Amino acid sequence: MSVASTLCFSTFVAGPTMGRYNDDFDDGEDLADFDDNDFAEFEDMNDDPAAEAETAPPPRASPSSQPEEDEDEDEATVELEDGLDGFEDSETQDQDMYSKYDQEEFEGIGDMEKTGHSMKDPLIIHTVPAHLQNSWESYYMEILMVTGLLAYIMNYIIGKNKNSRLAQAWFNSHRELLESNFALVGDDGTSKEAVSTGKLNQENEHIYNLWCSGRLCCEGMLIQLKFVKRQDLLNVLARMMRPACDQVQIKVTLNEEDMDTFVFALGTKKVMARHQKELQDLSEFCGDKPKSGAKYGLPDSLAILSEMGEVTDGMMDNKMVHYITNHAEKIESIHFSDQFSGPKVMQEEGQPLKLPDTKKTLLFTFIVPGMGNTSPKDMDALLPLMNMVIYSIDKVKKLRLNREGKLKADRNRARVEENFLKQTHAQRQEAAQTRREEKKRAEKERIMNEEDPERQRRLEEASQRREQKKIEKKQMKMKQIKVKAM
Amino acid sequence: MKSIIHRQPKLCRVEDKRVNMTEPIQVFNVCLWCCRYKPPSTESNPTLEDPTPDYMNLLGMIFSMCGLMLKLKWCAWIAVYCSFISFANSRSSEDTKQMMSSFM
Repeated sequence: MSVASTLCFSTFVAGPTMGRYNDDFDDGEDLADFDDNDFAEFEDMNDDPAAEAETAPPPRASPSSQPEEDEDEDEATVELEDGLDGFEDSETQDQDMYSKYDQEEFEGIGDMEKTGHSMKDPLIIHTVPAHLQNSWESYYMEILMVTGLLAYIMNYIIGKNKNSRLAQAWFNSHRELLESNFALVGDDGTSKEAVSTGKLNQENEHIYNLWCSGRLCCEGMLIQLKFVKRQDLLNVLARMMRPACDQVQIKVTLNEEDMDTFVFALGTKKVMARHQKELQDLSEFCGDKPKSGAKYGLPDSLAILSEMGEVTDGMMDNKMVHYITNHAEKIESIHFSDQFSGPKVMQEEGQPLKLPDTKKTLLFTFIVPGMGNTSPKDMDALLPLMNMVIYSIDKVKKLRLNREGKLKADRNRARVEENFLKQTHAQRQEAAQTRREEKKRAEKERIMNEEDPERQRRLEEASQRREQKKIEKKQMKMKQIKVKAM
Repeated sequence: MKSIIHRQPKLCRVEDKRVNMTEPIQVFNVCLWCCRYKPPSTESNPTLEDPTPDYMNLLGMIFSMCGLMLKLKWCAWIAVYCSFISFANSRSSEDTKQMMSSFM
């Protein structure tokens, strides 16, 4: 604003001074003529701006009256640019000039003098704001972010390497046992021939798989090493609040003839309660609350879910109890089932259900000691548990229910199937109805689309005859039922 | 049920256990059926999959769009972080090209 006003004043001052310069070069007579001719038409107008100036602030009045004359002056004079040089000279002549101005025509001259003085004040240099400066301080945000990213990348590399070392340590300690028990150790499913790759499949930076097959009594065994996400910094920070531990999950799938019909589970109380709610087979076949394992000599922390008492008695022999008692802190859950189909499926509405596919499975979930801060040496502690797994496979193959047990098991399975069919009866009826309607609609459309009227008539007659037959059949059936009832 | 195609025979040398060391080692060639590994299909158990990399990918894209349109620097930085987290949690089977493009 101050710069603009100074510029205005400079033009104002330059204008008349330029005029004066020209006038100095010209004759005095011409000056009068010049004044009369050029300013004559503005004389009236000068009064009006002068009158307005009385109401407007005084400094504004002079520039508002002058620019009209200045315009003419600028057009007339050639030395507009030189006027800038002349500006400095004009400053010195300021006081003389102002005194020459007619007081009637110009108001606020005194104020102008004051503003003219202000133009002589020294220029104030302002300091450049920080964000426009080119120094390190202005980039502190970027430096912070990049440092964070570098920390994340470092953690990623360290975490990935640690997980990889743990997985390798586990495999090295278990390799001998696995190779002596299975013909195929390590398979990714891509090669044509069944050749052992002899190494783990890396699914993720924190999940490693191993597929073993080629053993009597079982179809195959999938071992999953599920480590905590050491490679993700966010996860590392979350684990500081809520500790998590590395897990080893083993899933043994058996052939049809290798297992009798029973469902059995053992594990920590919390996990058993959760599994009973979430897993399909445990919720259907093991309806009772988890029982304490103390009866069989197991630690109190473990609970048992079983279809029948006979199964528990059969499974909990001395060797098994010995294994479990010695390694109770490493066992999260053990689950043997001939009806395993995974967690309960959330049913969508209007969808007719089929019974989910079941598979004879043994599931083991082990916890790696160390609660997240594991070292490769801790992996050796899991070797006895693998021995337990091999022993369990053979045990399950040998365990056969007696006659009563078998009957009970078969009744249970029939009951579950019946319940399922009842629940879905309505849905299946609806589905059948919609299918029938679809068929009818399709047929009608076909008849309508038929161009030849002769054929149309014939098709219509045929469909009518078919419907008539169906109605007759139904009536016959109803009659038969009535007769039987009587 | 695994199909027959997945089962392949494999010849193995099995050494019988000796009761006492004086007996000779008996070696048998046993033909065992091996089932091939079949990766579990993700359609059958979507709940078991970890959704973190997908969510982080989406968040990263949203933040990068916000940062671009609204000219907010902090949005852009969060987008970079999201893409890094998504990369760290991603599965090995995913396309590397897709991950690199998410970094962009």
